[in-house]
Amino acid sequence: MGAALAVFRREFGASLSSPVAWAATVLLVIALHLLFFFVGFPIGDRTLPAFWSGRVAMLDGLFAWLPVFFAILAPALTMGSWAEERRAGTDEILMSLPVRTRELVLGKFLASWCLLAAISVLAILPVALMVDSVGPLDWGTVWGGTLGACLLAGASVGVGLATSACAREELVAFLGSAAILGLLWALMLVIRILPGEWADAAYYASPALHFLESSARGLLDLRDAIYFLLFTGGALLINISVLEGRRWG
Amino acid sequence: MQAGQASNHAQAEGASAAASRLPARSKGRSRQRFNSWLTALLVILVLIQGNRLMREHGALVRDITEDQLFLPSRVGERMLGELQDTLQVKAFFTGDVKIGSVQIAKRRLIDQLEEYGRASRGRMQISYLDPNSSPEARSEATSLGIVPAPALVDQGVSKVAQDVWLGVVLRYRGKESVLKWVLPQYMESKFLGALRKVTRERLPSVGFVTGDGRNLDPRFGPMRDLLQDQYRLHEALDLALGLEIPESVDVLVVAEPTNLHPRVAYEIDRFVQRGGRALFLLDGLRVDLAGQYVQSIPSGLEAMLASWGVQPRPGVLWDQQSHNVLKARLAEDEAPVSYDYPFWLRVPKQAMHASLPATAGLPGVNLYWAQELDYSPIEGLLAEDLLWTSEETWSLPSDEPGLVHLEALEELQRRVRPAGAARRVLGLSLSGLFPSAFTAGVPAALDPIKLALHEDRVQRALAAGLEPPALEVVLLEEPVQSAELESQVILIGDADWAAGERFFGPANRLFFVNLVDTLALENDLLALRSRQPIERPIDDFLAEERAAIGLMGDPEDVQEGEQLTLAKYEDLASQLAARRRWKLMALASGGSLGLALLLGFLWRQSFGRTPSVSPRPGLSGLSQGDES
Repeated sequence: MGAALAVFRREFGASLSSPVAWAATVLLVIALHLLFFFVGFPIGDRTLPAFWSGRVAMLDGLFAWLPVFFAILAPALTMGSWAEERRAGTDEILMSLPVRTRELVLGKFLASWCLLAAISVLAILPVALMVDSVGPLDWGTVWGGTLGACLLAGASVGVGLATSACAREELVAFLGSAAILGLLWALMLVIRILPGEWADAAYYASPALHFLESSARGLLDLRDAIYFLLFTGGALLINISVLEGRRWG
Repeated sequence: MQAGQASNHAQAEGASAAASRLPARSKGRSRQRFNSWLTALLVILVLIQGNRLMREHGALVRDITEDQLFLPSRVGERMLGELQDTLQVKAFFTGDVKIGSVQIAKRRLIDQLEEYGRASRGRMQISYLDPNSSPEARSEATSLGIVPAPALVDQGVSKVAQDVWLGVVLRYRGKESVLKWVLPQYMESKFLGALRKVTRERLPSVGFVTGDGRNLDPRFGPMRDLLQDQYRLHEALDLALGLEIPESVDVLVVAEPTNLHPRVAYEIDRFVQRGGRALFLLDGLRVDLAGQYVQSIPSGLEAMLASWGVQPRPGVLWDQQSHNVLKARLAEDEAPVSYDYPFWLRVPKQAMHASLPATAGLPGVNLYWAQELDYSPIEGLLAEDLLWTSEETWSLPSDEPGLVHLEALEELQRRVRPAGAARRVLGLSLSGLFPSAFTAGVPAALDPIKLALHEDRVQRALAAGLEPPALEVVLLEEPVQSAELESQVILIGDADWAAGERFFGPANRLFFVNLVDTLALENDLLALRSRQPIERPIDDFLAEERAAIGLMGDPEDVQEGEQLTLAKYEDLASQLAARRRWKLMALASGGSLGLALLLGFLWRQSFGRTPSVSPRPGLSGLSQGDES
């Protein structure tokens, strides 16, 4: 565990020094806030008005955009985690170090997850305070949504890392994980027209729905927590398996 | 030479060893890929199966919102927890649903039923039947009145249609209640309403009197149907002939009483005196917009109401601030035009009693041609205002031309000005000891023939616009109960809001059943219905800036020369409001970025800069000897 924490500290610190994390923060904050205040969420069945035109003290429009942003940011933050090493040929040196693969993976995961979760919390809470200053905001939905956003961030980062481990190039890693996360998000758009059993399966499979239907509305469900745990754990397991195979192959 | 041969031999051996490793290496890579794919597949399977198991067995849910609407209410939990016997619930749901949105709704309904099952602590047995695949289930559903609803959706290039069954029947101790069609958003109130029907020993009995007390006014048919669906209905007719309101009646609804004979008023008073609770929908006017006439309607209850301190004011209310729009056409060949019609009152949530169960959870109601209820305090009676108008309300005479002649509305708007404007009471709740108006003598019951003749004379007089003749009333010396038992009465200064499909809309229906449930002491149902989301409007910056500048008053009063100034000030108010919005948004976004910078700075201070020795985070993470 000590090695994992060491990897985490170094990775997190390096992220704070790199322009990617700062660009991600600025992008998320400005774009998310603009969309929330002026555009709303016009996509699919769950359309929501913009904050100023809807005139209701709630953050549903903000939470509705988070899965979309995570589908871009998580790949951006994780694309270089393994793919860059592989491209440069330094992954073999990395694998030869006396550190367990799972500790490496866990350390990188924790770094990227904490970064994305911190960016999300920083984007959500000041808006919540501002909305509360102009209307009676339900803080239960804010805390639920923030917690759900952190879990969703973990799942997104897990997918990003697993894809990065499989890819040779950073761009391929980015596009691959963005495609996977985008498809998972898009499930909730097509669920209405899917045949019955497929709709059920899509409902269970979509991380965005597990977030938006429950925690983003202030409903804490153990089943959703287990879902995100399994999802993230599964992605990390795939990540470890790919690296282990490369290590000993 | 020998060294050279040895070297060649070593090289050859090395080459052949390398050659033999090549297939092994590619075999290793294939195995690696296979293992990775296998792991990925196993992970997906575990994810799916784990999720399924959790769906069925891992329900642990907390609702942390203020509204508390996502989980069964406390009332529901209590009703289910108090079951003494087994409640059988049969859900007639389509099994193989072809349409995604319906499948999701069905899944939510099943989840809700399972929640109720858990709350019942094993007293609820749920079974799911598919009428599409089982003829017996279909036959049973049809016999219960459950019918499928057609659903149609586009899937790709084709359309998919399916008849969908979503009906539920509850059975308990020989009683049965059927929900012919349920959706997740209405499930709780419908299910618990049905539960109440099958578990209550006796449903409240509601007596119903309309108009002249002899016939059901067809305009109140929807109200009657609503009462019959929820309660045991008793139509109290011919009270003037000496029939009493039965002892079994718990609540009496008197809708638009019209020229009631004093004997009817006495029977109603007697009902209240023995502790019965009553709802009065009073209306002094009948307005016919199409026919463009207005008819005054004396109720016949004036003396009784006066003894309780209540006097409906003559005239009709005009609310300048809170009213509805009327769409009408002045001629057959013209398109309908929208008129601001301040005689149709819009009573918002803020103009209703905030804590009484009847009005607490309502979003608002609409009243039509209402009259003010004046109240003078009477000893022993407690009065509470239920509904009221805005401060900009006037009481206008019933012969006001603008009432039915829409072209006169504009002129009326100009004439109606601040003098005389006040908040007017539209609904009252009285509780306590009600003094009787009949202590001086009891009106004798009527002879049926005399009554029929009198009514005929009254109708003819009203149609001619004349004062209806008074019927001779003989007073009998009989003992009369007065202010001995406590009771409760609710009075509303309008009856049109509950008449006909046009006015008796969802909000008004909810208000009506709330009033009856209040009088029937159905607190559980009231608690369920008052579960509404809390309204969360944000501040209206534009209205605040306009008020701060002083932009109030009627724009029509503005002279032409002043209009330019008005536009300038409106513009200024808009700019100030926009500035406030941008300031708040800048604070929010700036706050986010500022906090990010602060956290980054604090991290660096705590843990130092990341060494730039190695550009590769993966390596730099371990190059300092941190590994365990």
